Amino acid sequence: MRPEASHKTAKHDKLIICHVERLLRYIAGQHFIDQTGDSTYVLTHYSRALADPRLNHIFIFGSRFISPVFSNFPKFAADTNHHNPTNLLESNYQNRYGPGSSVFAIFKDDPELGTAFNDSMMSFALNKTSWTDIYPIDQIVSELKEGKPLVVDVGGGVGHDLERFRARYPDVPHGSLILQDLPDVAQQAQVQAPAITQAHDMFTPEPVKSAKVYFLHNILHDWPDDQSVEILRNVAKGMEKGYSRLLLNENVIPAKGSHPLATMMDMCMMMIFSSVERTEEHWRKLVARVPELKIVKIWAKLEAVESVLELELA
Amino acid sequence: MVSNKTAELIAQLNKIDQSTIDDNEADVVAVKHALFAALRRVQSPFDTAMDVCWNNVAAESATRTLVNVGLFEKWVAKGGQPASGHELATMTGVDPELMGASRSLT
Repeated sequence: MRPEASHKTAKHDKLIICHVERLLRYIAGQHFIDQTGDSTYVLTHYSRALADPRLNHIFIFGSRFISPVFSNFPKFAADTNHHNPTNLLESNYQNRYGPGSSVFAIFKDDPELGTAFNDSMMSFALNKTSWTDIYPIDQIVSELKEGKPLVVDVGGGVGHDLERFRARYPDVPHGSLILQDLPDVAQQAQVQAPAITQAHDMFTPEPVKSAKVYFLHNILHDWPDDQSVEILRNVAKGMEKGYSRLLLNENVIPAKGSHPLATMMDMCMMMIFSSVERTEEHWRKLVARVPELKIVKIWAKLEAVESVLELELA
Repeated sequence: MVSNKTAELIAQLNKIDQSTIDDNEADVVAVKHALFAALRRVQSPFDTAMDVCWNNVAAESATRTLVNVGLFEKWVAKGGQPASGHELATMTGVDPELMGASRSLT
C-alpha cells in the first residue's frame, strides 16, 4: 500500500486533523505505524492486523475488565496484609466490585464482556503450542499394545486436544481415542471417528483401564492441591504399571526465564481468581503427595507457553 | 533450541548496553528507537495487542504493589545485592508466596 500523507488521512476540519495527528504521532512513537517522512505514515503488520475485528476482543476485555480489576490489586494487597490470595470468594475481584460479586456472573450478564472473554481464551489457545508438538506422540503410538486404548483425554471439553492427535493419526483402531468429561459437556463434544465420547467425573475412579496415555490439559491449575491429589489418584487407578503414561499439559513456571504469557496467566490467576500457575517445585511436591505416581520427565520447548509433565506408576 | 544464525544474532544483541553506544544523546536515542522498532517488527499482532491492553496494566499493578511494600527502597538500602524471592519477601515482611518465592503446600 502507498504511504498516506497524514494531512490527507483526516481532512474533515482543523480540529479533527489536530486530534488525529496527535494520536498518530503517539502511536508512531510506539511503532504501531511507521513514518517515512515528516508527515507520511506507513502501516506495519500490527496496524494492518487492527483492521481485522478479530483483535477487538483483546482490547475490549483489556480495557473493560483487566484494567479496572488489575489496577485494584495494590489496594487489595494492602487490605489483606500482603498475604498470597487463595480464597476465590474473597478475591481482588470482590474487593473491587463488592462482596458476593462473581466473575462468571458478570460474563453472563454482560454479553459483550462474556464474548470478549471467550474469544480472548481462544486467542490464548491459538497462540500456544499444541501438546502434540511438545510431547513425542510418535513414540506412544509405536508402543501401543494391540486391543488397548491409546489416548484418554480426561476433562477434554469438546475435544480440540484429542482432535489434534486424531488429525495426526486418523487410522488408529475405532474407540482407541476416548474423550471424557461431565455428561452435559460430553453431550456437546464434537469428535470424529475413530474417537469416541464417554461421560466421566474425574472425582471418581478412571473407568478406562490400561490405556497408553491419560491426558489432562489445564485441569489441575483450576484446583487446589487437595483436589488435584484426588484427581491424580483416580487416574492412577486406570493405569498399567510400566506401560501407561499420564500427561499433564500445564504451565510450569520455572525458577528463571518464564514465558511472559505464562506469568501473565499467573497474574490473571492471582488478581482475578485467587488461584496460581504452579512452579516446577510446586508440581513436584504435588506429585510427591501421590505415592502411586512419579514424574518421568517434564517436556518443554523454548517457544511453547505450556509444558507436558510425563508421569508413570511408581 | 534456536538456530546458529539466531544464536549469533542474540549474542550480538546481548552485547548492547550503554557502554557500547557513543556517549552522546543523539546516539542513545537512535539506538533506543531502533531496538524498540525491531521488537515491534518481530512481535505478532497478538503479542503487541497483549502488551498494550493486558501487560501494561499488569506491570503497573505488580510494580506498584512492590513499591508500596518498600521492596526497592529496602533492597537498595541494604546494599542491593542479588537475593532470592524468599529473602526479598522477608526483607519487606510480606507473604513470600506473593513475592514468587517457593510456594508452600497446605
